[in-house]
Amino acid sequence: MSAIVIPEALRARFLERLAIRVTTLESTIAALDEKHDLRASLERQLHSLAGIAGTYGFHALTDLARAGELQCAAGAPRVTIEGVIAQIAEAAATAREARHKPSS
Amino acid sequence: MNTRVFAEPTFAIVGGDHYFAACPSCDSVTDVTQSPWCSCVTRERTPVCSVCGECRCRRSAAERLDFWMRAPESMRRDHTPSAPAQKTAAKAPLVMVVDDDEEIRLIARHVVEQLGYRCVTAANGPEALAMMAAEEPRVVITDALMPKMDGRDLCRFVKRSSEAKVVLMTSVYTAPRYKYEAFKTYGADDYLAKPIDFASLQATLTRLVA
Repeated sequence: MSAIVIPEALRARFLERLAIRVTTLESTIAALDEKHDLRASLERQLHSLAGIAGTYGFHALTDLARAGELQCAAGAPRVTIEGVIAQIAEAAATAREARHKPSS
Repeated sequence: MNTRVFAEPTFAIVGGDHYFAACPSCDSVTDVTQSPWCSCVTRERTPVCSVCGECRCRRSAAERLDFWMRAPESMRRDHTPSAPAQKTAAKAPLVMVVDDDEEIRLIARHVVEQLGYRCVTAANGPEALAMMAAEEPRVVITDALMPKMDGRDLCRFVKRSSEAKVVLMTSVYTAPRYKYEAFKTYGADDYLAKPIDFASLQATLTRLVA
């Protein structure tokens, strides 16, 4: 198969929107109590992130998001999911920094 | 005629299929659907402003992408193939991608078109079914877990009402028993794991469209 080229503009858009995804995850977990609907929203957000991140080559993000999704589905305590989201935030920041770092 | 004009690069729809946009070079607002199309050798030909003659090909990739992302779906379908590919693009099989995540739709559409197919996208099951009333996709690739209508239910509807092949996508349930469930319970023709592996996508489309 001839290589599929992902336009830089699409990749840039993903990284830009990644910051918004992370902020939304953080807001959702902060508001999480035992309301089922917020947990379901969190699970859906993590599900989406797991699917899209790896498609752009950010497999570490996919693994983290998938772990978070499974924990949400299993009813893991809030503190556990918060930990995963913190790791996602860090990985996302690293990905954005790597993009802006000038190549040597 | 009442005309609504929005700041560039948005589109205003004035009845029928007219789309007005402001030219980024001279600020003239013209009916893009009546514009000539540029002959630049780019993947996506753009309208030429009838006032200053500028086309958007000279804009940066990010600006052009933003223009097409905001363009109405019908305009993208009718006008985006570059001139050399237009004849084959018109006959290329149509693939529909259904996913509630806009970025999945964008990248999937990009990849499907790079593989030589035409592509339309929908954000959910009801939207996909409404589009299928006018379009006849050969293949529908749908996320399994979506709001409004689960992709698995969409699969059942599509298999009952059309000849289209259906591919279910999901990121978590990749165990063999879920693939079996996709085939036997919902009637899916194939199964794709997310994150999307482009080689698998190509192989799947080749197999289903053949």
